[in-house]
Amino acid sequence: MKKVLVIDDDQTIMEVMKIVLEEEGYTVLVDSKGTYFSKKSNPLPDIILLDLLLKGEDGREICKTIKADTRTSHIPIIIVSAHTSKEVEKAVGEAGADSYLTKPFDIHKLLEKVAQFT
Amino acid sequence: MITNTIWWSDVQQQIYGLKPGTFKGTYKEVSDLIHPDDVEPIRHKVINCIKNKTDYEDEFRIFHPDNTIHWIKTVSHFYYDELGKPVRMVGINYDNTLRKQENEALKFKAEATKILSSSLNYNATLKTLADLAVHSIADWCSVEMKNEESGILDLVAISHKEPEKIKWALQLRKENPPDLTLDRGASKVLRTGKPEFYQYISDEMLVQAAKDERELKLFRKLGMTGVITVPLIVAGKTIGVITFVSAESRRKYTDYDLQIAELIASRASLAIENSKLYNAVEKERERLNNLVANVPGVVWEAYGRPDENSQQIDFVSNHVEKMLGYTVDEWLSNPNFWLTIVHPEDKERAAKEATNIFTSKQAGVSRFRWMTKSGESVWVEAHSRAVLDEKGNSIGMRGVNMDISQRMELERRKDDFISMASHELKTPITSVKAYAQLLHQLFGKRPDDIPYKYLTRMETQIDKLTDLISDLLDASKAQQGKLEFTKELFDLNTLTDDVIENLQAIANNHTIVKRGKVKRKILADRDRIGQVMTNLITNAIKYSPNKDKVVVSLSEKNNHFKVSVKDFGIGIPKKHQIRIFQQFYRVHEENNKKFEGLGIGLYISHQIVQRHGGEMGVKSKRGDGSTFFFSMPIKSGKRIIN
Repeated sequence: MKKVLVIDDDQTIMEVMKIVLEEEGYTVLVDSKGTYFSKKSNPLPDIILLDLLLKGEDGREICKTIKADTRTSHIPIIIVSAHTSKEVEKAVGEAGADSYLTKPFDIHKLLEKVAQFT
Repeated sequence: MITNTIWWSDVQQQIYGLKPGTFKGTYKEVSDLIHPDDVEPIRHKVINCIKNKTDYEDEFRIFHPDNTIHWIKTVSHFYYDELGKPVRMVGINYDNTLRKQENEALKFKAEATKILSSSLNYNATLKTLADLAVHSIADWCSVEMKNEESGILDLVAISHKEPEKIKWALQLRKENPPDLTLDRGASKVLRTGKPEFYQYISDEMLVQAAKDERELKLFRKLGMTGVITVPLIVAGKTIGVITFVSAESRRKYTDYDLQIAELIASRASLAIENSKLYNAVEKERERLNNLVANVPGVVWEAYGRPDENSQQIDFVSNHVEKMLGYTVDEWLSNPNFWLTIVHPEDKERAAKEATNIFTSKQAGVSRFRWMTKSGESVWVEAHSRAVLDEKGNSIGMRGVNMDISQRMELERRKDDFISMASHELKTPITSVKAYAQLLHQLFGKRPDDIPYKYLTRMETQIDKLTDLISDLLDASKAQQGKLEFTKELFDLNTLTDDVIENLQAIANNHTIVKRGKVKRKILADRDRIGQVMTNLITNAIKYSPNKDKVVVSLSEKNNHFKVSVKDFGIGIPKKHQIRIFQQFYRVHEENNKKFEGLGIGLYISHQIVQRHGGEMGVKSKRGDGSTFFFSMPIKSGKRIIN
């Protein structure tokens, strides 16, 4: 079963993403602080859905760290943000993410994106 | 000289004002005729000539029996005996009065002309003129001007060699103000504009002229022997008079004196006129300077192209020092100074925008940051206009630059707030939309069910809410010129089809018809152009509630494409058509039903089109539908500014 890591600090969004993805058969891992990878024993996900604006943390930096680590650099990262598409496009380029989705998203588009990268 | 007798020819006796044969030949007779002030100097000179054995040459004054003074010019030779003692003095005299007077008058004319053309303060000039006159052609000189308000004659200058006499005259005038109804003197000249000339005034004339004993006494004390009164005429109107009076000098005025007096009066009139004009201009200048000084911005004027080093600032208001710390001198002495202190990031754009205003010969507004002397940046809004020469060529610019730092800061905070608010609003909407879609899936199998219908409506409203938030964010960005664009080559026909398809899906009563096409791909921001089309079609549907058709036409001409959206609805009255593209503008008409919306859609669309180098407009008639259109270059080579 493919594992999707959702990094978002909004509990409701996390919950609804979990429902949508689990219904499609994904295993959903959640992280509200962007610290998932600091614990080495955590299983590596197949894809990461990353919010840009976390409390006290910049999603761009989290993205860069993941992409800089040889252990995790291969994992596709989809940025999911309430910023405008132009802003997110810019952030994707800067942080080296693989794709993006703007909030509020269509759940079908979310599933399409995840399927595309897993 | 031995016999103490004098012999005068008949002519000589006439020169001295005597009847031939009446001179008895005594020294006393001669010294009685000579002006008392000149007797001693003559004696002195004669003694010196005898001592040095030279001829005696001199000029002195004598009194004629009519009390007038004449100037005598004399040349005499002494004969000596063998012991060197003078025995005889032989000489010729002639009356030099006229020549002497003419010379004085000429000298006065030259000096007065010089004074009249040297200053614009006419009160002071007229005083100097009067002083000059009493050292040449007159003993008294006064200048009187008609007071525009009270109608009386104001004494603006009076002169006499002795200050005591001036005091006396002023006192006299105070006690006897000039009577403007009199048919003589200044009153008459003021009324008629013609000069008055009394070559010689006898005591009988004084008796006749005086209205009473007291005045006669006064006239006699004044001792007038001649009077010239000339008018001061400005723009055909007599505004005052100059009076020259001969008294102690016993000068007998001639026609030549009158001519000189008239000439000087006309030159004085011209000087007064110039001075008044100058004062009026000065007053106006002062008024403008005051206005400019109180403008809370930098008022400026410059010559030359604004992006060239030769451009010279010609004027800059003092406020510049307060705003930026640079002195007016620094501005005026450094070519193109305004641009050298523009913030490096804004320099290229500011120069380009200013040059556009210069070359377009129009007015315009530009915003940029200036660096203060102490290194801080100040946001300014420059409102400027091209200065044209008489041929209509641009030769410079003038304008006013206002400090808008505070406004920019407020706008930045507002933008930050809107950006944050939209972000915060989108988060719960994301969950609501996702849950709505999840529910939709649950009820998806039964599309005829009421929950399914309600959920569809709910999702539509959630999308509307999302669009409104996006519009708010866009409006805020557009206002700052910060809308982001990503150019790409795309097919406008496909985009139009996509937009129509999306909108047709939610339009209940309207059919959206597409006509025409654009053959070439266009270079623009696909999403933004789609946004403009969506906005125009949505408006067309919204403002034609009782109609069933909206026509979208595509066309191309001269490397430009055009998109028109026509509806058959309520139309827009002419007075609203210009303002309809302004931010937050809503058409309010009586008896109109209220339409939903924020009043920013057209504003954003207009900004998007403008930023692509295109144009947007509307043709509409109330009750007869509207056609909104926009056109822009198909393949713009121009860089789209971000």
